[in-house]
Amino acid sequence: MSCADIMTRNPRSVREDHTIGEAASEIIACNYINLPVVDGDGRLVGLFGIYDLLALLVPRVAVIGNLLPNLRFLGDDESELHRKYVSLKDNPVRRAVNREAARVYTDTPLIEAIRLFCRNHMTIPVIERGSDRLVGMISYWDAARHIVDPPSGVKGS
Amino acid sequence: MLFPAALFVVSYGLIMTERLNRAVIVILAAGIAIALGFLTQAEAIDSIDFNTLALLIGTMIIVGITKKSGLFGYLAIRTAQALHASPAGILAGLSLVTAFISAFLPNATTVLFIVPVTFVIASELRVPVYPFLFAEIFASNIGGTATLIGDPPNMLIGSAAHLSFDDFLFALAPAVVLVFAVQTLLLHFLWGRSLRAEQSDRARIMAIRAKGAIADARLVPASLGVILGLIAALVFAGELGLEAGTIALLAAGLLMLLDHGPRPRGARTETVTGAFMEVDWVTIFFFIGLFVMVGAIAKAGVLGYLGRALLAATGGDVRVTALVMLWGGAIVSALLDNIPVVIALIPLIKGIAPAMGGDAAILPIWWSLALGACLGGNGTLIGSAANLTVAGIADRSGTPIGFWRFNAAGFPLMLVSIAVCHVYVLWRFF
Repeated sequence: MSCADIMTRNPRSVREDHTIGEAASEIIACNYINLPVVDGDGRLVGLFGIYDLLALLVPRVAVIGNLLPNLRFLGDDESELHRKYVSLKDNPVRRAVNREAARVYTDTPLIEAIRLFCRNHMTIPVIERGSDRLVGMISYWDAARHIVDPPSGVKGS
Repeated sequence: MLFPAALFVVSYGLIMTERLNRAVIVILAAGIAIALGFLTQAEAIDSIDFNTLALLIGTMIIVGITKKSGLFGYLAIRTAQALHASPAGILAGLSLVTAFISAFLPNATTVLFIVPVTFVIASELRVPVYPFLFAEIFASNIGGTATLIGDPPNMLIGSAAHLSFDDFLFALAPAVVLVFAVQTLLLHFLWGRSLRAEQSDRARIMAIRAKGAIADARLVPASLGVILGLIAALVFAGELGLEAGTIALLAAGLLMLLDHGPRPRGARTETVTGAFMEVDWVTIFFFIGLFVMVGAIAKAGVLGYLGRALLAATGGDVRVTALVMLWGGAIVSALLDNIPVVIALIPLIKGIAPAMGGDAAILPIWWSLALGACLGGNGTLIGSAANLTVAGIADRSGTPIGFWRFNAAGFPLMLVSIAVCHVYVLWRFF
């Protein structure tokens, strides 16, 4: 059982020169956790997701390591958060993409994908070995569904 | 004499390349020195300054626990609000807070308290954060020069020369105040006067609920009490008959008790483990390895040889030697790691003391070395641990501090501070 067997093929993606606003609209409209970002040749650059979007709105020092225990002192200011979003949304998404996001190949065994789900709690892009072109996305739901209720023809089902 | 010296020089060279961890290099070199018979294991243990190690470990634990309280983030915010969120005012105000805290806690960890909140304040004011980071780096190294416990070179010198907390305070605090005043003025002309923020952004700073920065209110009085107790005990260390290392470990133990005691049983082990994890063990073992290596070259007569060379070069003149230590210590500290240099110079200076009139006569040399080694750290971005800590945070926050950008202002400003100290040393001690 490999990742290619359970992935969603031809997933929605954004190009790295698309804007953060365009990527954010896509994420929110489709309730995605993550959206794969590709270059002009369809090669995976990384992931841009809901957490990456929200992280743009807080001082970066507050989300790296354990440097700040909290931001409770800042209080609520929705208009300020919206203003920050408006100031960023026309930037290319390549500036905010997570290039270190985990990825798997089409022939990666499912157990490795499950290990990555447990560690990173996010969907995983599937790329073609050699070309690094994006060919699919797998989610923890896909994996769990396949294990709990495997399709007929799978041993033990 | 050649082989121990060669081992020391090779080790030091490897440290400078930064290709290998420095603690690994010195621990290996120390082991080789013992294995090759440059000194025995007993002599190696004798060469380790456990008083300095205890002082370092104790203060690191205290800082690690105090950090959890959020106290210093609160102080930084209240400082900004007291100055009505004026960017120029905050530049000077946060520098003052950083310098003050750095005088009593290791300066490399002081910046860990202040810099993250500085990023938030600069972000809210929509002003560049770089001037604040630069000012806080300078302030931490300046403030740390004022006391026995503010900077590792002072801990080393104080322990070796039996100089107390009071001795450092009376001898160096006036110089530090002068240097800080001059640097703050210069930074105001360089950046402060051109920093501007919109009224609406300043109002957001004024609206910040500073108490929200306190992460663990229970730890605030405990941490403050222990730190004040530590300072008081250091001031009266002579009367108490205790060394600084013992005082620091006692204070650390007390704060650990106050931190972990009230917690549920299941969380206590984790709390204590966490406190010990706050000790920078890489630095501690770096010190241990260096002490042993310096012990080896001292036994081989290398330091005696260098001491005679220094006497010949300076004519045995205390004033000339003091100024050599001030300027030489500053340049070396800016360009290289000051800890190995100070550890090597300590036995050298002790060795030339009889020829210069004895321990009391060479006090200006110790003070000059402390000023040069501590303040020189401002000369380049790699000059001190505090600089590297801030650079690391800035890197991870997406606003890197350029090496040459920092040095372009840092090196000349450092020379200004040493020039101020030059005048001070001549006026105060001669």
